[in-house]
Amino acid sequence: MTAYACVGQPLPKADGIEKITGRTVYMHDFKLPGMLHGRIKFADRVSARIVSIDTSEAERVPGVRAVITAHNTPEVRFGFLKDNTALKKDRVRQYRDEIAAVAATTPEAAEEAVRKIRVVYEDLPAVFDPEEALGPDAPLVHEADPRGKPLEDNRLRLPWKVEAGDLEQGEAAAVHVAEGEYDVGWVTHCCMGTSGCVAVFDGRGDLTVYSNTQIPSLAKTDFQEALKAMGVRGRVRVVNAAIGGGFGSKLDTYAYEYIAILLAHRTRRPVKVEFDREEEFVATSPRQPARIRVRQGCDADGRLTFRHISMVLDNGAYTSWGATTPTVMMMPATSLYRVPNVRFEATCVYTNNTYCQAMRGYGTPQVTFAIETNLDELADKAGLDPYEMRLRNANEPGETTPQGFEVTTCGHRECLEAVAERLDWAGKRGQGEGGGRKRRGVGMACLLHVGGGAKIYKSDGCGTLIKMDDQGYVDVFSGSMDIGQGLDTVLRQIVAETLGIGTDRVNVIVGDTDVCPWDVGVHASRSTFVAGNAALGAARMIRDQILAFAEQLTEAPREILDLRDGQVVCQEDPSKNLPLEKLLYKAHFAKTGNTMFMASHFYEPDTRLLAGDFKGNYSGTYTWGCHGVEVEVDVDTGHVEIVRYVAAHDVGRAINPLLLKGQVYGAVLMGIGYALTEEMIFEQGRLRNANFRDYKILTARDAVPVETVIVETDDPAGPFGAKGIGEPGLVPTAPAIANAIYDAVGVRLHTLPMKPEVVLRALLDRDGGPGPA
Amino acid sequence: MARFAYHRPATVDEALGLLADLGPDAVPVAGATDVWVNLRSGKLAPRALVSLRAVPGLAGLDRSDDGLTLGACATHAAVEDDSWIAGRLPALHMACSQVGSRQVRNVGTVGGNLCNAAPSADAAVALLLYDAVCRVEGPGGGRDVPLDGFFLGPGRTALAPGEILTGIRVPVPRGRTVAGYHKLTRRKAMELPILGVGVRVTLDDGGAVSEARVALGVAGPTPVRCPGAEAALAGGPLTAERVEAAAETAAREARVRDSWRGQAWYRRHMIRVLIPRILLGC
Amino acid sequence: MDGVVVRFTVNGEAAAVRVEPDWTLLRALREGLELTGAKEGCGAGECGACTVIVDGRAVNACLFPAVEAEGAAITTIEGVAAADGSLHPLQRAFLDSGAVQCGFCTPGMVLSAKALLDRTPRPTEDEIRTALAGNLCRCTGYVQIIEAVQAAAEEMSG
Repeated sequence: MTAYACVGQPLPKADGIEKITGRTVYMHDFKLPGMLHGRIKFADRVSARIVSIDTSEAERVPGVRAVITAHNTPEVRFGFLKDNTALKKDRVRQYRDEIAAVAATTPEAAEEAVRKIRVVYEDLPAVFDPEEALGPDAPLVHEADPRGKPLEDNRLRLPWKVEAGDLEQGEAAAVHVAEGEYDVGWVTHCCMGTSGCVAVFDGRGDLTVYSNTQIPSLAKTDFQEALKAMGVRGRVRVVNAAIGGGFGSKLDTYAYEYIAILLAHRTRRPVKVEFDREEEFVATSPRQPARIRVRQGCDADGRLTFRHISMVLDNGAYTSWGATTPTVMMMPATSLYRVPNVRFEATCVYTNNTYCQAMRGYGTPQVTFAIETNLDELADKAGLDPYEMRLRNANEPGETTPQGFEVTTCGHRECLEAVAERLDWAGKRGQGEGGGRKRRGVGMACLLHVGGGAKIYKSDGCGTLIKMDDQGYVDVFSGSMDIGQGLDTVLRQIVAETLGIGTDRVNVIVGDTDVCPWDVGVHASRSTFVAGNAALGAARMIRDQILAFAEQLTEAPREILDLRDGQVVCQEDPSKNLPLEKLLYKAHFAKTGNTMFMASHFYEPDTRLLAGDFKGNYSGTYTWGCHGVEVEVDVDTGHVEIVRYVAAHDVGRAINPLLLKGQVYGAVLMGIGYALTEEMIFEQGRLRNANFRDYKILTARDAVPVETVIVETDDPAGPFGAKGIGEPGLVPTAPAIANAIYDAVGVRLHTLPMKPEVVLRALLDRDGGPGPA
Repeated sequence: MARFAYHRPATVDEALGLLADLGPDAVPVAGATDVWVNLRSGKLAPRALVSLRAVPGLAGLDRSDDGLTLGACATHAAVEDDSWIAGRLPALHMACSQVGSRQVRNVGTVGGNLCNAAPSADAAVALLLYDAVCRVEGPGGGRDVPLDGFFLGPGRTALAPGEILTGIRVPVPRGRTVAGYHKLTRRKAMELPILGVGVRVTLDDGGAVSEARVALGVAGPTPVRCPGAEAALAGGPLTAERVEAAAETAAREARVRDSWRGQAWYRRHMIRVLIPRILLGC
Repeated sequence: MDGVVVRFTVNGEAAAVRVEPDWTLLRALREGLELTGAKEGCGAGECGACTVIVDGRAVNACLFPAVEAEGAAITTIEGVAAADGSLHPLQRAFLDSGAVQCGFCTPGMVLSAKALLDRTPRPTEDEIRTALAGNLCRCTGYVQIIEAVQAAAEEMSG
């Protein structure tokens, strides 16, 4: 592959110095003159009719400037199905429902006022299990849809179904079949910076929202709709503060943002709403739980003949992106490994639990846990080494999958082989059973993820503007956003490479909808690919403009001119080399010039919107990977210790290996948390463990030295060959660990997390040990 | 957060005077790491805090042949960093080293941990093994309260209103001793124990157990000793059979409960597993 | 506002802040002195984002009563780099090792690491992990953070 000057370099993160010295301004640090502090009164019941809301005492708290409820503000609807409102008028459906809100001069006054809001409820029946919620007698979470049409049951009208090949034929051709049910619950993002925003109206009625959203452009549209609902004729600007972690949590707008807007409008002052940690746990939307049934089979040689996946999703009380995760779960369901006959169907059900959202992997960690654990079970039935089974069914470059994905580059096999070799698969597998209290085992699992955007919205594009000043500095205005993943740095490298200048000459500006072009958002591991291609396109236009001007200046033909090391280089006559600053100065000021170099490019991947039959190529390319893990299981305590962890990914090309490894390390540890320690514990809809002591994200003492393998396949569609890698690192983590536990101690676990008591229970049940006392 | 006054007396007498004047609305604090969380959540709403941090000498460790005296304001980190304690009172060292984070251990005190009287108090379990005695000062003078009788219930201690804990005396066992504290957790740090198990046996010259202590955290309303298990260990050699019998007794004696933090069967089972692990290293 | 004045040194300079009895050191630093590098991530001593060094020891400023800082010497992230702006070896190593992503935990993480290296110039990996265990990070998986502390320790102790 071509060697580059900037691309491929392990550059430190561009905003790192600001962060390392404590200068970065997060939403937590952001304030405006005259700013009020907003606080929300959340529901005290999980399902009830609101009989009355008495805010009189709250209004009398010194410093309080406004107390709003659904009764004294316009209705603002939001969400994927518009089934949620900023403030709830006559009904609560979950504990996080917003009943009222206060704006006050200090956070303390706002808190005191919220405590003094009196709500009278009339309890209604509630339902917490999605399958019970499907029953004929289940209480309705919503009696009517947003248009007022009565609903007869709790099932969401969503068409999540895809089918290819002939399932019955595939069943008939199968010699071995594995079937199982896999149940994965709620986990949450745990961004270290809690959510918040500041809303402010100017004198004309224009609204600015200072935000930590991952979707500046879509949030702008959402807020613009809110203004319309409020009868305000103004425009919206969304400006980002630095984001203290995203992971999908900020991929949709939340009630708190609309509440800040309503409070700012009511008080004519800037209003900040910022969650404390408990609110962050309770009132942001976690990963979508799922109850997944998998049935798949293979022929005598271990080649997959069919796969059938059906699932029930607990949607919670309102609808956000969680309900749409099946559209991405379809991808590994139909296309991870070559399976000719596939069917996938998902049912989403309203319950009185919290509603769900996007979280790193967008459904694929859930369904991959089911597929890859089940595949191990199938290999067992077929008497095959699970590694061999995977190799036999591995995806290949150039194939079109049953769902219609056009696979270009594919390093699936290389990733499998790398993991098997690094882990000493052949030497280690099957050694676990036998004596001793601590038994080791190895397991692996693979992943397929979108690596070139995901067209789940009308446009999957990103716009970029580039302007160049006359001193050789470049400003890149990208619609995308840096959420810590390193977009700022990757775009620098791409633009610097294209223009033959140092990365220190490139300034990346993101997070202001008045300045930056449209982008669908930071999700689907798309930013390096889509925003990278957008920046690359614009940079190439600048390059062309510079070279065209250089052609005039040097009278050397364009074909022999190049941009390198900050100069225009004439390959045949170095005496004609021209420092870029000189050229830029001439272009701007000399008689020949009076021009400045600017360019814009909107990159839209050549992909198909996922809808209708849900078939077609909906990503510009696909990322492949395999994770392998060696565990040690303590058979007396059920503790699982990670001994070694190998994560191999086909990333197309590593634009920045340092930051890329950071994505993998972080994702893997998040995946280990998903596998072993993390769970949101809901009892009757109430979250019990809304703090870091009881919600167990892993610590530095738990950190695992992950061995990363970077497979480069130089994707033709990617910027300099790159694919997305933001999410993949946690997609196959849980099944790899589950499979390793099986290899170590011979029990199959179908629920997450595989915490010690779960492992121990499975061992005791198998061995006829003491029952639950 | 509720409003309160914050007092920083310079002597124990001054602190006692303040507590007497302020009455039941005043809470004595040391590191305040637990109290502050409860103030913030509204679980505690005192009118005044009386901090013992400025009282000279209360933060010290006093080591002698007889044992250790911990000032009530000695931090967990002070114990963690002390190699004398690690050598002579290893279970106490293990317990203190595993509390919260280094930041919490740097401020949070062993005395405060005892006065909180949480069933999960790590140091309490370890100190029960060593027959620790609490030194209490009050309006009517000082008294010694054996730790075994210090905990009355969750959040309730033998401290009378107006009394404060000023120190903890921890005798060093005489004779060959095996002792340990196992904190059962899911993560490797930043945890409350799902179960805390402490065991100490001191052997006579003939190899028989002359003194046995078994103590548990999160196995009842307070940190507790297990007299039945201690009796099962005492008076004989430290054999696997006798240890397992003691573990079985402790598991039966334990008043473990089901909670969303951990199930009773798991806690009970782990008592059976961990006591032999501590004593026999397996 | 009533309250009391607390005097301490912060990053080598004398400071006096008027605080209420229920203020934390974190609030005194952030609101009283506009030193906003220390963050509140949980307010309960469970995440470490508010870590500062008080008299040589890393503490959670969110649980530290402001009035208890009287007379103390405090280091915040703003005082870790040299006066001329040159980075502390730990900061340099965090950058170069890729130990910073969203950066919200970074100030606290650096101060926990600094408190460790100030007492234990050549820590073992286990000591590093123990010292940092109270600083949660959701982005990095800690791998590059641990590497950064190792690199800084090596550089600082020659």
